[in-house]
Amino acid sequence: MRSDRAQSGKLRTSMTRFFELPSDVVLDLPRLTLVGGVELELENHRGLVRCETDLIVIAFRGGEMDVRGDDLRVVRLDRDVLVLGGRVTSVEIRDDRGDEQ
Amino acid sequence: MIGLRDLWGGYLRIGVSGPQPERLVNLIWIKRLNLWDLQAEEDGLSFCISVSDLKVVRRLQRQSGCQISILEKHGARFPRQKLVRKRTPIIAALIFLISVYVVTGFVWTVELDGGGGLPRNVLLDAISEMGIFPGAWKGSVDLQRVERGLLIRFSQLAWAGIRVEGTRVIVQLVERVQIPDEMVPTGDLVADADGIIDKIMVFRGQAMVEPGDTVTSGQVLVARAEHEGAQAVVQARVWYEAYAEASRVREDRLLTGRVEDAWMMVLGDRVVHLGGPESPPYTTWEEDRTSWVLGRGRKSPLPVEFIKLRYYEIYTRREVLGVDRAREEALRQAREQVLSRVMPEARVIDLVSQVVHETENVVGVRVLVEVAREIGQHRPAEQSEGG
Repeated sequence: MRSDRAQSGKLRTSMTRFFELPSDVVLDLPRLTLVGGVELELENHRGLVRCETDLIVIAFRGGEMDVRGDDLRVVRLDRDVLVLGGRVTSVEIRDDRGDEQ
Repeated sequence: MIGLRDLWGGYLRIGVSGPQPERLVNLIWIKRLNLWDLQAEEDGLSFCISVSDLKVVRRLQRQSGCQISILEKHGARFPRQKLVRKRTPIIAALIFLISVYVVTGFVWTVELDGGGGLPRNVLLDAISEMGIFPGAWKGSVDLQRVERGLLIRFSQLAWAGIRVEGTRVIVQLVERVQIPDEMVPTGDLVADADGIIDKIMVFRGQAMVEPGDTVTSGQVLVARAEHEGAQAVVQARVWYEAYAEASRVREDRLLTGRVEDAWMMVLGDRVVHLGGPESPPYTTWEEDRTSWVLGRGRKSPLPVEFIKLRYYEIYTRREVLGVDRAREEALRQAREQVLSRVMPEARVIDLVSQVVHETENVVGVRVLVEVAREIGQHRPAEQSEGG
């Protein structure tokens, strides 16, 4: 079952690349915008995993994102967009397989 | 983010505690509710939601197993709610204000000021008939109509004024002044001084002079009509003359500064000298007497009086004034003399002064003042007939 989903994902990725379609739309991948280390906007998120002043963990399709910094807080949380405020020092992305980027 | 809707409808800061407060946040997110300003707290999380979403959040909270508490309330909704809660006192205050307005809208008292010659109750009855009485609605009172009505009904009145002060209506009345028959002029108008007529304005009678005429005192200016006395305004130029002298030697009595005190006691008719000079110690002096009666203020004061006499030494300073100063002094005196004779309503047209007498010791000045004034004087009818 898991391998079926993985195969379907690979196929969609290949098709997207072949037709040069925007992957965040077609594959529902997160789009991250960082404004000068004081504001982070994440589209296509899947909710909040952890929220502390120095670490916020956000879920997205296929992985999680660790945002580290000081005085971190969620400025806005709606269906598609999550906006973080505070001083962002690092962003770490982990996929479901545990690979880090 | 706070929108206008949230500001108006109100929003809350919710505190979430429990094993996994993020679970509640995700449930809220799944329900597509708005959530903002989420931050970590010591015992969990806190975030803001609209007041309208609170019910759903409470349901989700039970589902999530977290505890929530309302930390802060914001927006216009809460002052509004307070006002609604305080509705009773506000309504009471409004009722009070309306009652005061209604009660003060009526006339409580009617006061009469003046009109002393007319019976008070007759006046009040008349005013009441015209709509002003205790208990009348102020808005329905036509003050001007009542004023006119009073003047028409009571011919003795010269003026009526009505004003409203709060719940009081004050009616001011002025009675017509009846001139006694003896005051009504019956004879001719004659000149009370010599002069030249300036203006003449005849109300009754026949003018006997015209502007530019020279008249003498007692001359008829306006002759009376057949049954009525003459009435007119006759203005003429009249001259007044005065003479005054000023001495060129002026003597001033001045204090030398030397003072002596003498003390005396009066016992009945006897005077006992207590101290100081027995007679004035200076050749020229002025004295100041102060006395104390023992027991003053009592029904029968004691017949003992203490007297203090203070003698001030005086010397005389002679000063010979210059001719100009003496002339000024004489002129001042002459002018005062003449102006004291001129009536206050007269208008001074010209003032001429002339030095008529000047010696080593004395300067004499004559002043001639020309004034414009009313010179008409009523003469009783009997004298007019006789004259």
